[in-house]
Amino acid sequence: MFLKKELVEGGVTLIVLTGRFDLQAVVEVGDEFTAQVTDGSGVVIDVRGVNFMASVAIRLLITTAKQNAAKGGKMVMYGADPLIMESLSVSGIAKLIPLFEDYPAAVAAVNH
Amino acid sequence: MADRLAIESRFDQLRLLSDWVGELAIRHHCSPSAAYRLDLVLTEAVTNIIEHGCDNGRERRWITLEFHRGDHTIAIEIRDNARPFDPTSQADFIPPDNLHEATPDGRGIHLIRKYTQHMQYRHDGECNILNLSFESA
Repeated sequence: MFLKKELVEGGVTLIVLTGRFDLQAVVEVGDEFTAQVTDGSGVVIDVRGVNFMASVAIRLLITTAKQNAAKGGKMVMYGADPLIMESLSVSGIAKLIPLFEDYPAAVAAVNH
Repeated sequence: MADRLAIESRFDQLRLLSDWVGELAIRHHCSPSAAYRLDLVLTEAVTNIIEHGCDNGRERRWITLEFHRGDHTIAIEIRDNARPFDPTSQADFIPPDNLHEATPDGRGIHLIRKYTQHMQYRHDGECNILNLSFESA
């Protein structure tokens, strides 16, 4: 799994994830991901390049979203593949980390 | 004839599992949806065995998987020699209404339940045996 961080206007942090988001990915990028998304800022996760998401990845997303929210931040995601979207829906993620189709909608939600 | 994979019960073996699933999906002409379902269900089941079966005191812990493709179904049998653990007896996961109430754990078995039509567990005195099946369409 690859992780890229970009700062976009309004102090929003954009995290671009690419690849298979499973236990090995959590081991590889989990610490870096946690450090980047838990400072209380607005965080947009781009998952357009993610082709698989296991429950351990969902665990990491929820843990970090909670840590970020505790500092006043908000995390959203966008661009999930329909198969991943289905598993996220089954896992009840939509109520916890809002999911959007595209980048403008995700950024607007964070800045709202 | 069944396709079979034998791995050590270690996290670093999960990539062998995903590679095997990818090859199966191609060889058996699984739809993208069925291939993803197979990948997710097996990843969750095997991760669960590795995470929860680490204190059986045995020197060598193993997991075997057998894949059967029927006309309309995919069936998998997973065997492991970890301590007895019945995933079918675990309480149903209730999705939380908000982030404040959310707990990070409990979604693996929930995903297996939701993505399979049949889930049966037994212990034969030596190993855990989990049978899973779902429609291949």
